[in-house]
Amino acid sequence: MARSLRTVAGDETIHYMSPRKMRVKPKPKIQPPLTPMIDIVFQLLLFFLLATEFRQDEGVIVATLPEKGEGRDEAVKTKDIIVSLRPVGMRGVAYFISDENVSSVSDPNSRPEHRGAAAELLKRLEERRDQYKLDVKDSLVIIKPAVDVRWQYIVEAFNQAVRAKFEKIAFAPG
Amino acid sequence: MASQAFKKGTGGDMSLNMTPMIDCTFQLIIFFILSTQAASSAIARLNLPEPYVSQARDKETVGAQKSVIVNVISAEPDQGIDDPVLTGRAKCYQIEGKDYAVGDIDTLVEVFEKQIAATKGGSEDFFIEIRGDKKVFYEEVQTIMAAATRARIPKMNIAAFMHVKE
Repeated sequence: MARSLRTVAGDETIHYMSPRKMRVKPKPKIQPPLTPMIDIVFQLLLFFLLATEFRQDEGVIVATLPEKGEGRDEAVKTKDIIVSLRPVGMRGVAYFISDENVSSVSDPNSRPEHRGAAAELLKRLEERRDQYKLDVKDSLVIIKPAVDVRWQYIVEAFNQAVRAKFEKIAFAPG
Repeated sequence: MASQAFKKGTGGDMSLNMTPMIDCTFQLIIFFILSTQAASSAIARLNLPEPYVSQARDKETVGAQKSVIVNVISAEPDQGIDDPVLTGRAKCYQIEGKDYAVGDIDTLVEVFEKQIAATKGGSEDFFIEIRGDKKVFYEEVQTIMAAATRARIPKMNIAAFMHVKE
């Protein structure tokens, strides 16, 4: 009888256990080998940590390619807006709307200067749109950069024209 | 007495609790697997323009499935001494991982026409995506536009960064 009684750790109560149950051998614990799995997991982690390079989100601005003649001076109508871009020094730019200087960037590394020039260009485009009551669906904005103007500024002019809600934006040969 | 017990030692096993560490490791791996985008041969590494209040939209929403991506790689080094010969110049055009000579309009037209022929539906809903390095001159990109016009591609997408931090 004494054999049938056992104590449970942390419990003062004496629990009864049948002799048959006491005769049964405890099942051996099965432990899968974790070491190789942890090895592989760490290898993977190290690979991802070293190989990952976080990229800035990239998107597209939709444009229409000019048909033959479109964007050239002879095809320009009175309701069209010509945004010209001319280089300033080696890396800068000056934005013009119908030959009127709107804004310029002289230091390509200055974000505030970029921002200011872009904001001014947008303001002038919107002013012109409202002043001449231009239909944004019909009016054409022609971006006319000089051949040695950097792509960054051309995309900036295009972006501001899209911001001003113009739907037809074309490029003229430099 | 206490030091004697310490010297004798109890012989107990010391083990590190691995479970939380493995949990964290798995979490990290899952994060990396889900956030990693495999490098595509169509997309070259270059400095895209960062327009102010970017109007660039996600490619998925634009719906330009049938498109050819033309990368304009700059010849100008990122850092170092300015070389006036290389300023604003493009090293090459890259389409599907293959390099093409700058200014070779005939080859570009040929490549575009092949791409259009390979896709169903003709050139009406075919896009050209220009991924130009922000430093290159307009002259270098103009050739691509002219080639696209000759290949009768009506639509063009300009790649730029979205959500530029100000």
